Amino acid sequence: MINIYNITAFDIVKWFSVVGLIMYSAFAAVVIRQVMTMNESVKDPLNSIILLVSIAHLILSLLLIVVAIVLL
Amino acid sequence: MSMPDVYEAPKKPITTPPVEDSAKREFNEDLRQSRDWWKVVVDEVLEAMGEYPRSAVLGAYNVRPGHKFFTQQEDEEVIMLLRAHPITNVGWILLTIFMLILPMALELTGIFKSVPGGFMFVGKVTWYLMTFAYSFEKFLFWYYSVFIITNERLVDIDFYNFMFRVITYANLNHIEEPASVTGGFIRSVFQYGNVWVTTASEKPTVEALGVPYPDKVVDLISRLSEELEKRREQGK
Repeated sequence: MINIYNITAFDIVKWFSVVGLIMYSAFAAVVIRQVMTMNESVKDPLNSIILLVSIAHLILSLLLIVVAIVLL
Repeated sequence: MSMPDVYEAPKKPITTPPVEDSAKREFNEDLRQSRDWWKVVVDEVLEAMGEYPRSAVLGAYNVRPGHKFFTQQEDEEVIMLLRAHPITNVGWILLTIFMLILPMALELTGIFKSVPGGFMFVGKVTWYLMTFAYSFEKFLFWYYSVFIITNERLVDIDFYNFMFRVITYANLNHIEEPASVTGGFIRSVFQYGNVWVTTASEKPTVEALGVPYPDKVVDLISRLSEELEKRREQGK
């Protein structure tokens, strides 16, 4: 059972940060969808690289959630 | 001791046999009557303008780049693909550099001394990730907002925000008055400006903002439109 008297200000900041990072990851997922829509518009040699960058962005943002939970 | 010659240039210059003008003209005339007549028209227009196929990665002024686009038809070719001049990106690039420097500068002032190391690390990584997202978004809007001139129409693809795409088409034989506007110090130095094309449709103008060589763009649109008009008058 969680004892609310043990919760510090840093714990509150930690879970706010985690929620913020989850929202950021949702944004990163939307960016991938956006890049896919843009790739449809113009077929270009750079399209696949841009898509890879947006996927890497999502992976980094997901990793950051894990890091925040572990480290904070 | 003299060195032996590795390569000796031929005395006579090697020249390719001249192509018979009449044969070329005959070939063009045959092609003009065929289904691919527009290829001859485009070749002639580009030749008259002194343009040649050129394309570069991240290029803002691409002639016959060989790219495909959304809703492109089988007998349609991209003659020119334009983006805003790269210099228009300077504002957000400078802001990105400022955002990259900011955490280091704030750290030097010592205002984060009381913040635990874990929070500092996560905070910094989050900040840099958001900076990346900002610059990536700006880049995407620039890269994918293009103005395309094909042998049949003008296509203006604009992205305003997430998932909001506006595509405007104007047939070359429905356009009325292409116009270009350049002005100001920066625009004159880097030779870019706006192109407006008036059409007879409900949405009156198609625009290309901040594109390189706007006068050449207007020239190409006018010439192509004129060629199509001539063909229409001939009843072809």
